[in-house]
This record gives sequence, structure tokens and C-alpha cells, in this order.
Amino acid sequence: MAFVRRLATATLVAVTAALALPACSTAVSPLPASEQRAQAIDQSLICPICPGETIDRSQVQLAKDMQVIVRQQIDEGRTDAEIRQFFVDRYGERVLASPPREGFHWLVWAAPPIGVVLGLLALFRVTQAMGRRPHDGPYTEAPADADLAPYLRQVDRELHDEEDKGGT
Amino acid sequence: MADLGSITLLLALALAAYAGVGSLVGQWRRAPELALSARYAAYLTPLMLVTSMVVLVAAFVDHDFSLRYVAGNSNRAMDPWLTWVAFYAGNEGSLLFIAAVFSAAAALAVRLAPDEVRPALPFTTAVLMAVTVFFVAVMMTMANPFYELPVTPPDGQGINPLLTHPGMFFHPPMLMSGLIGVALPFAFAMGHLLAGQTGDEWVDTARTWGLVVWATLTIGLLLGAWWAYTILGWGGYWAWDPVENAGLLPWLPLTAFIHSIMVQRRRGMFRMWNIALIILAWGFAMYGMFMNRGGPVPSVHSFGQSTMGWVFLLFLGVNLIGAFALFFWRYNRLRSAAPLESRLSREAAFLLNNVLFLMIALVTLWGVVYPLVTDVFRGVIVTVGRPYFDIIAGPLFLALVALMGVGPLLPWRRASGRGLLRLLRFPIILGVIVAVVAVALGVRAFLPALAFGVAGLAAAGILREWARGVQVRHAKGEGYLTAFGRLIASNRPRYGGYIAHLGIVLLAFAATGSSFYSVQEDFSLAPGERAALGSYEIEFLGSSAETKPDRIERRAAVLVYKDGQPLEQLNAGFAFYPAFSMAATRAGIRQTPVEDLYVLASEFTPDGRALFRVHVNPLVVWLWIAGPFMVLGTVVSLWPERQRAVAALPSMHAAPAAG
Repeated sequence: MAFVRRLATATLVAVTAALALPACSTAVSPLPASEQRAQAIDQSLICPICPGETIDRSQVQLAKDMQVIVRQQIDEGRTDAEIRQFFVDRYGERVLASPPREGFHWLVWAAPPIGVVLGLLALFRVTQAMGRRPHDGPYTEAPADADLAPYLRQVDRELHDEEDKGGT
Repeated sequence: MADLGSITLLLALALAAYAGVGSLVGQWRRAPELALSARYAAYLTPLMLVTSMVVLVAAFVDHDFSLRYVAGNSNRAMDPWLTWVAFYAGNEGSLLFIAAVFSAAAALAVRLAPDEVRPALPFTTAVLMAVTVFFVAVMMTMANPFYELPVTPPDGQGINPLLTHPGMFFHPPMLMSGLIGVALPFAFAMGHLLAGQTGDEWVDTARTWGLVVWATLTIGLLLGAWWAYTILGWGGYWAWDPVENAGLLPWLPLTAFIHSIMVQRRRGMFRMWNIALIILAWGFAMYGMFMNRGGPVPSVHSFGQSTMGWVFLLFLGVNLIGAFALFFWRYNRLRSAAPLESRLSREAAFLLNNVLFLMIALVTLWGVVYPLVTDVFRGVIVTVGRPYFDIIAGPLFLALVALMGVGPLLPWRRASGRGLLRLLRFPIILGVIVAVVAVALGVRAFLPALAFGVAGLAAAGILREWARGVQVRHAKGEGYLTAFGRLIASNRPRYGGYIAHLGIVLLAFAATGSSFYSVQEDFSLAPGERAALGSYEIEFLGSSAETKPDRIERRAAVLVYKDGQPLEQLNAGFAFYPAFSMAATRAGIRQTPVEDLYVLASEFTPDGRALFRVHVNPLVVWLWIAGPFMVLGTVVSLWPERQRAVAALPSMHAAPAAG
């Protein structure tokens, strides 16, 4: 029994290791740091004439020209924010792949986390209420389950015995 | 012939309307004959619509360009095997497909309705038929596929080149069927509310249809990702495009629904919640169809733009208001049969799962509508793209995967803290090991290491359950394989779910690897030149051009080397369609379990050079492998129980392994 468990563990480790392998070939990017920076900027800029596509995806000439400008400006020593601002000045805010985290646009970034926290709080309160709320009396399990109940109890018991003896 | 198509459309409209009204009147007037004839009308509707479909497909095959739709979506040069794709390339054909598929599914749902849903069936039928009538009516008034042009053109315009891909044979039909299919469980829920049957009568049937629709939608989404990966030519498979989001949005509450419906099935709880979930799922499904049929946001899916979108929006509004009105009318009768005993229970885990799914849906929706918000309040339209969704939805998905590892291990009713620790010990250890292995292999950032670890935890939770069940059965003298088969057969909904969960784990692995560790680089190469990216090298062998009746194909032959060894030749190029002034890329992809080498040739200059973009995308193949897992899991979950063989305990051990 313990053998099966160990076998399963070993297989699992091997499989997951195999799945994680590509990390070793690509985790250390083969690209120079400035190119990595440039690509990150590419991915944050939308091509103005092909809505919805970032300039690293788009095949049109304008996108390619914009990529060249990004690289030039990196060579000139400008910061990421300055380069993005350069394009915003020319094409407007919609050239950014997502709104900047400033001013009015905090709305788009802050609402989801606040919503998640409120949602979890609501869940907490609701589960509290669900424990107390009056309900339609004792619920009887569906007939099939009722027939199964002794069997399920037996399985449960055996599983627990197993757990206690196994002591992994 | 086209007249036949129009006539059958009209007949379908009349039959569906009669079936809906007839079943209601038959119920009120207690006229069983009327109810029966209404049911027969519901069975006949799909026959009419399928006839219309056959007529339209035949018109494509005949090159009958007197039909506006055929002339607009095909031409003589088109490969005949593309007829099926051309059939639904525009609004007219896709509406016909949706109506035909839905009416067939509705007829099947009525025909197969088990005894417990019969009392509410007239109301359910009425809801199903109302949806059918809407689609047929919109088609006839705003997008008639059988509209005849005053002058027959000598040739058609041809098919949209982006659709000439094998994925297009299945992605649109699966997605359309999946979206409209959400109306099936919705109709059962509404039918039972209308009939005042507020117990659990509808649950089994709605679960069955919900699972079928879920699998269809899942596969539709995955096929769409595959299509995008191979033809859109940007090296990715999911871009959080507005229409991709429109396909994902209904999937989220539907997935929540097929989970939480299990709690109602087992424990009679979450009655209100399940109704609300299915209403939301149907709302999002209608929104998805609205976006696909000429919605306000531009995207790669804007194939058939028209004002029809607004009719869909109106239909969506009427549906949501009606459904929620009904929900609140019956609100007091939708009380749980049992209290929630503990927050450490499987019920509570299901509830958390639901809340997470809904949160993902809501933050996604927020990203989609935010441009409208800025437009209204500040007069600027901004883009909310990938960075937003990755940062906001990513962690929520991760939390769901973690819950997927923990939730199924929890017992119903309540778990003790100590018991929980014992249950989770193995998955947590495995998760940590996976994360450590990932770090050892070069993962240097916190988020991907966490994501790999969480995926490992989820996988371990599932495998632990299997191992435990098999051990117990083996101890009773069954061989390991027999024990495994019988374990799955003993609780198909549960173990089918685990199989689907394994598919999700694969998705999580693939999504983590490919979104954090893809690299790309552009190269301009003359024939004979080489370029390197990571451990790969490509050599540009030469290019060729071929002129076909409707397109010019340019192709570059590339030899791939890895660690200096020549491996295989890839063809990368594109086809340019002058009629559409549009190019469809054909990437050269070398797929391995570890990573894809993805080569694009985007431009050929007159001096013989070619412009290449090369991507190395880790783990992508596992996305496509996840699909079969989810389908298999659904099939196992739905496989009917042996006829109450479980009623007598001893037969349980004697029953042969099945499923």
C-alpha cells in the first residue's frame, strides 16, 4: 500500500518535472536586456490603425515603424514612461494597451480588487446566515443515496482506518 | 429551390410559435390533445429548419449566385470543401445554423424529458419555443439567407480568407451551439419557476444539458484558440480580445452552475443561487451572440457587422428583466432544504468556487465596459487590453486552480481542522516540490513558480483521491486496473469531474509556461543565412510564390536546427487575397511537449530577402491535449448509471467495470 503511494508520488514528481522542464531552456531569456525592455513596451502599445492589436502582434508598416521608434528611444536613454508618453502625445490615450494607473483610470484598476474583497466579505456573512437560516426541515438524501448510505459509511470507515494505519 | 428554403423558414416560425402558445393554452385549458399537438409542432420545427439549411448548402454547391448570401460568401474559385464554412460565414447562415441546432436540441430536450420535469414541461417548452421564434424571426426580417438579388452576378465575392482553416469547420459551430445551448438549462429553470415547481425537480435534467453545453462551449473556445494560434500569426492563442471575452463570459457562470448544481442535487441547497447562476449564464451567452453579430467593439471577429446587434441587446434586456422578475416572484419558495453546517465543508468550497467564477466574469466584464465609461464621462475611448486582464483575472484563476485541488478532498457537511490538514498534507507537499523543481529548472519569478506549484497541488489532490480509492478496492482483492475502472464507475459524476479537472491542470501548466516564458525575435534573412534564438537556429533555404485563382501564396522554406543539429524543414508564409486585400498567415510550427518553435515569414523583399518572426512558446501543446480530457470527463460524468444496480448492495461488487 505504502509502495503504491510512493510509486504514485514518484510518477507525479517525474511528470511534473517533465512539464516544468521548458523553464530551464527558456527561463533565462536569450535576448539582450534592451530588447526585452523594447518588447515589453511593444506589448503595451496598441497599433492605432488596427484596433485591438498590440504593435508586437500587428503586421502593418505603422506598427513596425513604431517598434523602430521604441528601440531608437531606448538607445537614446529614455525611460519606459517617457517612451509611452511620446506615443500618447501623438495618438491619444487609446494607444496604450491598458489605461495608465493614474488619475481617473484608477477606477479601472482599483474596482476589481475592492470588488473581490467586498465579495469575499459578503460570502463570509452569507455563509454565517446560511448556518442559521430557517430551512425546509431535515433534508432526506435522494433515494439512491439512501440505499448507498451504509456502503458509503463502510467505505468512509475503511478509508479512515487506512489513513490511520498508513501514517504517511 | 430558394423558394423551398423560404417556405420552410416560414413554416418553422409558424410551428415554433404554435408549439409555444399551444403548450401553454393546453396547460391552462387542460386540453391534452392541444398540448400533444403542440409537442408534435416542436418536433417538426427542426425538420423545417434543417431543410432550409440543406437548401442553402445546396445553393452554395450549385454556385447559385442569385442568392445575395451565396454571392457574398463564396465564389467559383473556392475549394468545394469550404462550402460548410461559407455556409455560416455571415449573419444569415449563422442565424440559420443557430436556429436549426437549437430547435433540434429543444425537440430532443422535450422528447427525452424524464417524469420529474413533466409537470413543468409546457412552460419549459414555451420558453424554448420563444427563443426559437426570436431567432427565426430576426433571420427572416433582418438577415434572410434566401434573399434574391435583382441581377445574378457571374461570380461571387468569395469567402473571408481568415476562415479558410480546418479549425473553422468546428470552432464556429461548436461556439454557436454552446452559446445558444445555455438556453436549455435556462428554459428548464424558468419553466419550473413558472409552474411553481420550486424544489429540485429540474436539477438533474438541467445538469445533464448544462454539462453537454459546457463541453461544447469549452471545445469551441479551445478550437478558437487553436485557430488564432495558427492563422492570425502573432504567436499567441488568447489575446483578451472583446469577442474572445464574449465567449469566455458565459463559460464562467456556466462552469459555476455545473458545480453548484451538484450541491442542490446532493443536499437540496443553493436553490436560489443556481437559478441566479443560470440566468446570468444565459445573459452572458446572449451578450456573446450580440458581440459576434455586429457588436460595438471592433475585433478580429467582426465578420458580419450589422445593426442586428441592437435587436440582440433588446432581446437580452427583455430576457434578463423577465427572468429576474420571475425569480423574485418565486423567491420565498426557493428555500434551502438544509443549513450550511460549516465553512470547512464541500458545500462551502462549492460556494467559494462559484464566487470566484463570478468575480472573474465581473472583472472581465468591467474591463470590457470600461472604455464605454471613459467615453461617457471623459469623451475618450481607451483600450483595456491584455495587461489589465493578466493582472486582474490571473490571480483569480490561480485561486480557482488551488481551490480545485482542495475542494474535492473536503467532506460534505463539515470537516475537522485536523482531518483537513491530513487530507491536504500530500497535495501541499507535492505542490511545494513542483514549485521547487520549477525554480531549480530556472523559473526565477515568484508568480510563475507559485502557479506551477498550485497546478501541482491541484493535480496531486486528484491523484491522491484516485490512489486512495484504488488502494481500498485493491485491499478487497481487486487488481489495480479493475479497481481503477470500478472506482470511476462507482461515482461517475465525481470521477468524471476529476478527469475534467486534470484537463484544467494541463491548461494551467500550459498557460503559465507560455505566458511567462515565450520569447520572440525578428530577423531579416537572405537565402542561405542563419539566425539563432535560444537553442534553436533557422536557416532560410529559399522562397516560392504560387498564384491561385483567388490568392497568391508566398512561402519560405526554413531548416530548423537545435543545438547545432538539423531537425526538420518548416514552411512559413502567407496567402494574399486580392479580393479582400487581406493576408492569411500560415505559420511553420514545430511542436514538441516542451515547447513550440513558431516561425512566421511576414514579408518578402524584391532582393530575395525574407522578414521572419520567430517565437519559442513553451508548453503550448498541453492546451490542445487538455481538450480531450475535458470531453472525456464530461462523457464519464454523464454516462447513465446502470439501472439502479446500486439499489442492492451485493450487486455492487459483482457488477463488471463499465464506463
